Parts: sequence; structure tokens; C-alpha cells
Amino acid sequence: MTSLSSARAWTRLTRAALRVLVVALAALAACTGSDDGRPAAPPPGRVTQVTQPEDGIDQHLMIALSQAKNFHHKAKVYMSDGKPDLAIAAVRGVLAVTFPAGAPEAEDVRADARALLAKLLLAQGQADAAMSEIDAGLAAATRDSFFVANLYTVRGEILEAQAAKLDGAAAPDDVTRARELKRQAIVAYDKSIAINEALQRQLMGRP
Amino acid sequence: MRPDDPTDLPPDDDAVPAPDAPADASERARAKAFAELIDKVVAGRPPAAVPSEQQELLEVATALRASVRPVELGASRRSAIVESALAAAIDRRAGGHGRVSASLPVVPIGRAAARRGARTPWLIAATTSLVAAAALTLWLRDRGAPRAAPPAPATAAAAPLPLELRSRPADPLVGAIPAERAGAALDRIDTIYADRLDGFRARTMSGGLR
Repeated sequence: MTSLSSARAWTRLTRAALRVLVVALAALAACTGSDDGRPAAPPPGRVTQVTQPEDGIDQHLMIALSQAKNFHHKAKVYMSDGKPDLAIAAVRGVLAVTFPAGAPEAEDVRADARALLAKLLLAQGQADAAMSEIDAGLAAATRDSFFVANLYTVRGEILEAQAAKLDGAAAPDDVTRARELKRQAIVAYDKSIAINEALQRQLMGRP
Repeated sequence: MRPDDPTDLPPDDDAVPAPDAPADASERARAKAFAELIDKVVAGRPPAAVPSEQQELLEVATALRASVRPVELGASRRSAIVESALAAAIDRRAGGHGRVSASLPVVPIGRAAARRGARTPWLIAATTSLVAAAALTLWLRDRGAPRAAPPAPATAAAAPLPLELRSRPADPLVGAIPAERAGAALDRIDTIYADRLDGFRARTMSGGLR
């Protein structure tokens, strides 16, 4: 009788210990799984925020392009009104427009403005000033483009015009100078052609 | 013995009474003494000496009792027999001759089971204590550790912007500039502006730009 009571007591004790063990295991699982109450990692696709890439078309770029566009229209009005100096000043305004840093359009627009500026200056008989604008445009170029090729084209026109002025000269130095200017003009045109061909091949996806 | 018995046998203690004859006092006394003798033998307390005629009867009685009621061994006796058989088997495998080796500790079966039963609650209690200690340690460690800032949303761009929404060179848009169009910068800036305005509007409408 005594041994039976003892066995029952041990059984009850064992069951109680098992219950406590289950509770302790649950507590352990809670401690290891809660991660200090920090929010669990959200499901993928919920928190990913598309960044605002710096190379995206934004309001700053549109404002700069709009200003450049307005300066060109202003220059056209001045030209149509017979005021080339004011037209040149208006085109210089394009060069003063502040574009977003690193915007490729800035280089293209400035190169095109310098080409126009050089043509306007050349038309006004300021060949050296026109060549200075071309040199400045080529110096600022960081890549080949159709606008850079156009700068070389205008450079060839300037050199051609300078050589034409010397065509009627009788002095041997002027003849030599005219010949050299023509040679440089051909080099400039060839450079423009080469750039255009390379870019066209690149755009067409050909090596 | 009846007086009118036709056999007329002399009174003899060894004489077998007739089956239907009523038992007399001496027969009852002898039966009672033999019953007590059987009880003593069954109880394991046989007398030191037993008359030969009673010895034979006693053997017959023992055989009869064993035939009608199989002997059941007690639990302790059963365990002892099994343990001795196991010990003998172990000893034989160890090269002995059927006797229990003194070097092999033989734990009685009943005692081993009882020991296991007694150990179970303590084993469970020890395991519970270890688990509780581990949980407490983790809890205290997490409380002591500095709280890390919640993870920031992933800021990596999922995909690059489409080309038409990006600031990019105007070469594909403008194309090669012929010499006679070298000064037509106004037309080109108009084209560039219109194209970029389309991209800007598309980006604004899609919610990618605030």
C-alpha cells in the first residue's frame, strides 16, 4: 500500500515537472524568436522605395532647357530685327544657364550655342572670336557627339573663310597662310565627318 | 468398524475403513494430524521426521496439490531467477562457466526499474531548470543590449528608370547635323525641350517624381 502511494506520488510529480518543462520551452522559444521586439523584416516588395535617380528628368533640367530655348528665340528675334549684337548677347545667355550637375544635355546645348555664336561672330567679321568660341566648346567636350562634330564643321567654315580672305593676296606668306588654313579646314571637316560616322555606327548598333 | 461386519476383521489401525463407514474418533484424529502435516509442508515448515506411511501419503498429497494448482513464484523470486539466468548468460559470454562473475555488477531488475522511476522526475526537473536558465539568460541579454534602430527601408533602386525618363545625350534625338544646318540651334533646342518635356510629364504622371 505504501509503495502504491509512493508510485502515484512520483507519477504526479513527473507530470508536474513535464508541465513546467513545456512552459519553460515556450518561454525559451519566445525569447529567441521575438528579437527584442524589433519589427520583423517586412515582406519583400513592401518597403522598397524607388529612388529619385539623379539622372532622371526633373524640374531643374526642364527649367534650364526652357531658359536656353528662350535665349535662342530671343536671338532669332534680334537677328530678324537686324540686331546681330543683341542676338550674340542672347546666345551668350545660353552659356550662362545653370544646368543640373552632370546633365548630358548641358554639354550638348552649350556646344550648339557656341557653334551658333561662332557663326554669328564670323558673320560679323570676327573670325578670331568665332574660333575662340569653337576652341572653348571643344575644350569643354567630354565625349564625342553630333554637337562636337558640328563644332568641327563650324571650325572648318571659319578656317575656310579665313583662307578665302587670303586668296587674292600676292604676298608669298599670305599664299602659304591661305594654303595652310585650307588644309586645316579640311582636317576640321574630316574630323567632323569621322565623328558623325562613328556616332551613326554606334547608334545603329554596328561596331 | 461395525460389529456386524461379515469380514470380522480384528481392529487394526492400518485397516482401510469401508468407503461408506462413518469416521470414528481415531480416524478423525489421524486425519486432523495429517492435515496439519500437509499445511506445514505447504508452508515450507516440514517436520524433521515423518513416519514412512505418512511420508508416502504426504508425497501423494503434494503431487495432487501441484497438479490441481500450479505453483506461482513470488515477484522477488521470479526476479532472482531471471537475474541469475542473465548473469549466467553474461558470464558465459565472458568466458566463464555459468557462474556469475564477480566483476560484473548485476543490478536486480526490480531495483533498476524502481531506480529509473525514481530518477525520472529529477531528470525532467533538471532539464526544466536548464531551459529556464537559458530563457532567462536570453531575456537579460536582450534587455542589456542596446536597441538597434529599426531597419531602414531598402533604398536601392529596384530598377533603373526607363531611358525616356532619364537625362541623356541628345545625339539620338538630333542626329547628325548637316553643314547647312550648323547654325540651326533654335530648331534643335526646341526638339530637345519637347522630348524632355514628354519624359518629365511621363515621370510626373507615373508618380515617380514629386
